[in-house]
Amino acid sequence: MEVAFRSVGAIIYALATGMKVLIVEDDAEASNYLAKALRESGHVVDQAFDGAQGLSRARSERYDALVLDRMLPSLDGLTLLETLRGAGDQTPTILVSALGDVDERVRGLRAGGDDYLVKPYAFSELLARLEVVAARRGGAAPKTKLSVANLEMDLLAREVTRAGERIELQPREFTLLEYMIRHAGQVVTRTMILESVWDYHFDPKTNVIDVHISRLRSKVDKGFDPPLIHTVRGAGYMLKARS
Amino acid sequence: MGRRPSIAVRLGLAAGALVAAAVVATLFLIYDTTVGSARDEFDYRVHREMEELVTHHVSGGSDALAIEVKRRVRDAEGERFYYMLVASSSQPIAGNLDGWPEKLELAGGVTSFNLSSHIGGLLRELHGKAMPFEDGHRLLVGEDVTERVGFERDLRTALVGAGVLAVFLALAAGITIGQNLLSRVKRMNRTIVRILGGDSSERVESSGRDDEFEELVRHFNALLDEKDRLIERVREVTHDISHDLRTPLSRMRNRLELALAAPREAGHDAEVITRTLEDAGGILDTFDALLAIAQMESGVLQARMEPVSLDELARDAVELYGPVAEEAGSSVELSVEPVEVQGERHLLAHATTNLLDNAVKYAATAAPIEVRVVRGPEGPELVVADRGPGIPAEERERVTQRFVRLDASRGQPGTGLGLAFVEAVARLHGARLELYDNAPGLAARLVFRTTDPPTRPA
Repeated sequence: MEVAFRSVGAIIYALATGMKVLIVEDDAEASNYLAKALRESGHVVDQAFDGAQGLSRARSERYDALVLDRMLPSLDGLTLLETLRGAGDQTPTILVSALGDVDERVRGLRAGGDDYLVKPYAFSELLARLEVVAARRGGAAPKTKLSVANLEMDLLAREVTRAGERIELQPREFTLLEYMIRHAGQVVTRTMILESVWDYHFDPKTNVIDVHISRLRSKVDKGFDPPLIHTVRGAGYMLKARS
Repeated sequence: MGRRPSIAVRLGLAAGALVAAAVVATLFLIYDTTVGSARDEFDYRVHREMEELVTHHVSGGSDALAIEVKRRVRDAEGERFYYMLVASSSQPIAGNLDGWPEKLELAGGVTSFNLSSHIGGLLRELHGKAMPFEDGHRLLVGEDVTERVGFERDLRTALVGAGVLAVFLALAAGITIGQNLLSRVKRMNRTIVRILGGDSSERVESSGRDDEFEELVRHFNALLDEKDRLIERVREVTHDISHDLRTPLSRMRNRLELALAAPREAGHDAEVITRTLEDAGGILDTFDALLAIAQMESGVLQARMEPVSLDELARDAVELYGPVAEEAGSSVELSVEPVEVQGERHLLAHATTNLLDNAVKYAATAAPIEVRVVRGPEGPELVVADRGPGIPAEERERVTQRFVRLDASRGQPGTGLGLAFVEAVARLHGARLELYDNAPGLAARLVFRTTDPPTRPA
């Protein structure tokens, strides 16, 4: 009875906050590890172990997001994705691949991928990106003003105010803050920031992003309440009103 | 290798045979013309003599003919011509031969003949014509051609000798030319065999001549140099991998073995796991960098080249590293002019951040790090110059090699592949990485050797 309640609770939790994710990955161990980690993060997970199975699963059910391996037996990931997109299925998809160079990334995104992640990756990286691509499909109308709590950003005037007080930002800091506000409530990793704000698809390794965040924090959060920029240990950063 | 005659020998023989055939044909023509015209003249004289005698027979019959023959034998003609008129019984009637030659038989009509006959005790060659008359008489007119036959024989001997000599010389020349070409091919082959046998430093010797073979030798040697360079690279990478991947891998393994043997203790386990994860990350970084360098060196990325604005690239990198430098107590100064190069943006950006990363890591002093983009005399230049301790001149060459880390930097995190990466990017772009003394400090300069740098309005 208790077990049943607990699983009902899990389902309700998943329905309320979690996503339904399909993992298409031929390496069973990697797939199981990923499925376990995603379930622990409150998501519902289906698994397919080859391309054909993945395609039929993706077509027969509605998913919030797809994690799709680039190289699969029977039907490769790119073809699978092109087939789905050709049929009008716009399920947010992260391509995962051992092929890391820029050409491959471009091909993946051209085939309809929403993001491209090179193996091996940290689970926190995948999770953060998954949440971002799944939310992106919400399709919010273009806004000229963004705000979180008492932080406001005017995209046209390129002005930022906190509790009505003007904050001076360098152009790059503005772009960084805009990126974080647009993904408020979601974890953004260092590599996601490098990709979005600098268009750098490599990791300089030195803690460059941490320095930028700490500067931004000193401008945006210092002397204001509540703190908005939070560090998510082992993953990245998150901008939100309550911690 | 099959032991068929080599191509050079076959070509040489064919050329020799052609020359020989031409010479033989020419000689034959000379012989035929010389001998043929002399024979025609003889024939004509004999023919005329015969005709005149026949005229006498027509007008006066056999008796008149006999008288005429006797007269001619007596007169000057007798010294040039031989006559013989015999009756049907072969009884000689007139003439300056002993009798009708036994070997000469007449079929009817005029018959030409060549025969040897003893005249005055000497064997002479006779050439002439003979004919029978209706009354059974037979007439023969001939000329002594002993000298002429001798001359023909001598000429024949001489020409055949010349022909044989010509054929021999032509074939010998053909074979010699073939062998000469062959010897150069053979020399290359011997070199190749020695290289295949393991002596990779071997090169084909230059003949000192400036011809197609020499060009082939040059190209062949260049190919060998390139092969050696690539093999050297592979060897280096193998060595690098075994060194820089095995070391952390064995460290990881040792640590895990120790941790497994030790009693379970949450705090300690977590620390072991964290450090192992860090090591794994480091190994992956090294691996990625090696792979990227190897990929660039194999040239497979050439296709992605597009116009890239160097000044924007530098500005992006400076905006990324400026705060980091300030954090370290330094700063970055940017001075650029608009310059475009043909390149791969991501790789160039990565190389630029590598240079900046080094400057911030090893040379953060109160004096600013300078980043400049200028149109230099050779082409666009990107310079990252610091005021740090610099690198001694004798070490500068070495630091762009893989995994070379100066002792001073060993404590810092890094793969030791940063500058090797930059240099690989430079090579891919036909550019050059120069490290020079910034007096004090180190300056790294990427020189793009475009003859006419494309410019873009500011």
